[in-house]
Amino acid sequence: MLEEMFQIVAVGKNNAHHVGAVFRTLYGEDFPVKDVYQPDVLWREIQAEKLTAALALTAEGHPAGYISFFKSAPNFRLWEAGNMLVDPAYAQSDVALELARYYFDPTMCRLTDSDGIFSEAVCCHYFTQVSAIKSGFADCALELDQLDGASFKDGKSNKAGMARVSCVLNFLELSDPVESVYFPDRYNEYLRRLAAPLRPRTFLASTAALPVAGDTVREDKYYDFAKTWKVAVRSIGGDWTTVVEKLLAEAVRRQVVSLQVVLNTACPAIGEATELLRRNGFFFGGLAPRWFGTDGVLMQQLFGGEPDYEETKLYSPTAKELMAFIREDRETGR
Amino acid sequence: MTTLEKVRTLILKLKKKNITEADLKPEALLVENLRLDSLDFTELLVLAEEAFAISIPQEAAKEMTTIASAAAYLDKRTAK
Repeated sequence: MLEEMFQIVAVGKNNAHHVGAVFRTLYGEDFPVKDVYQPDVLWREIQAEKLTAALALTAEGHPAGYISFFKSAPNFRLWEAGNMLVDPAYAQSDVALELARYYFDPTMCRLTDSDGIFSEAVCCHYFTQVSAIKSGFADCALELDQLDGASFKDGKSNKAGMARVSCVLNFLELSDPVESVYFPDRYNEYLRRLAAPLRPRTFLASTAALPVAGDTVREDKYYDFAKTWKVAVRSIGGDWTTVVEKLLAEAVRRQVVSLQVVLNTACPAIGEATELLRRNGFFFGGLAPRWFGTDGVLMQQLFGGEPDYEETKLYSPTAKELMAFIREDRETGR
Repeated sequence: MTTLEKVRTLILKLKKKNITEADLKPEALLVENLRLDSLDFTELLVLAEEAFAISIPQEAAKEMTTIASAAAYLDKRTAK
C-alpha cells in the first residue's frame, strides 16, 4: 500500500462539513442517507449521542475517509458501525486500514460503555468482514440480498456487478447478558453454536404456545432505496398470525426484495412464532445478539430472484457454514 | 510451484481482466504497476491465507510492495 500519514479525528461542530465532502467524492449528492450532507444535523445527532463519527485527514488537513457509529437497533445500548467511506483518490493508500483499526476497536472510539458493536459487512468484497474477524468480532447472521447492488458507485467494491448484495452481521459483545434467552427448538443447536464466541448466556427451551391475547409490539425500519424492510418484534401477541399476514401483503405492495423479521428471545413462544413464519415462506438468518437487550433471532424472506450465491464473498468458516445452513433451511421450507 | 509462482497465480486470479502474465515480473509494484487497492489487498490476503494455510494480518499489506516482497513475506511466515 502507498504509505501516507493520516490523522483520525472525531467529527465535531467545526469539521462536520468535511463529511459531505467525502461522500460527494463517490456519490455526488446521491447518497441515500441525506444526513451526511448536513453538518448541523450530524452535530445534533452527535450531541444527542445517537451518532459518533470520525474523519481521516491527510497531513494537509484534507478529508480522505469517514466512519461512523450510530444507533439503529431497538436496544439503544448497541452501536452499529457503518458508512465507512474512502475518497477514491486515496483508495491505494492505507487509509482504509487506519479507519478499520479505529472502526473495530471500541477503546479507540470510546464505545466501551455499551452492550456491543455490530456491523453489517457487505459480501461483495472481503475488506470489512476480514477487519471485523481479525478484531475479535463474531459472525452471527447472514442477511441475504439486503442491499441494492447499483448503490455501489465506485466500480470496485461491487466488482462482480451483483444485482443485490448480502451482508454478514458480526458482533462484538461488551457487557454480560443478564436475562435468559429462549431459542426455537428447530434452530436451538445452531443458534447455540453462533452464540458460543459471545459471553455466556442461559438458554431455555421455547415450549410455550402462542399467546391468545395482547398485541404484538414491533419496530419497523423500511429502506425504500434498498427495498429492504426490517421488523424488530419486541413481544409476540395474540394477533401474531394476523401481523404476519399483513406484513406479507404490505411487503408485496411495497415491492420489497428483502423482508427481515427479528424475534425477541425473551418471548417464551418464540418457537411457535418462528414456525408460523416458516410456514409463510420465511427462513433462518441467524442470531442478532442483544438486539433488544436480550438476543434476537433473524428470520428472512426474499421476494426477488435467487441470491447470487457464487459471487457472495464470505471470509470466516462460520459465515460459510451459515450460508450452507440457510440455503438448506430455505430449500426444505419451500 | 515456488512461492513466487504461487503469488503470481493469485494476483492473476485477482486481476484477471486487467493484467497479463507478462505484467507479473518479480519487481512489479503492486500499487503503482498492478493497481491494487485496499480491497484488492484484502482479497489477496484471503487467497493467500487459503493457499498457504496461514493467518495473515491486514497490516502485512505494508510489507508487500512488489511480487517478490510478497513472496518473501509468505516464505518468512510459512518457515515459522
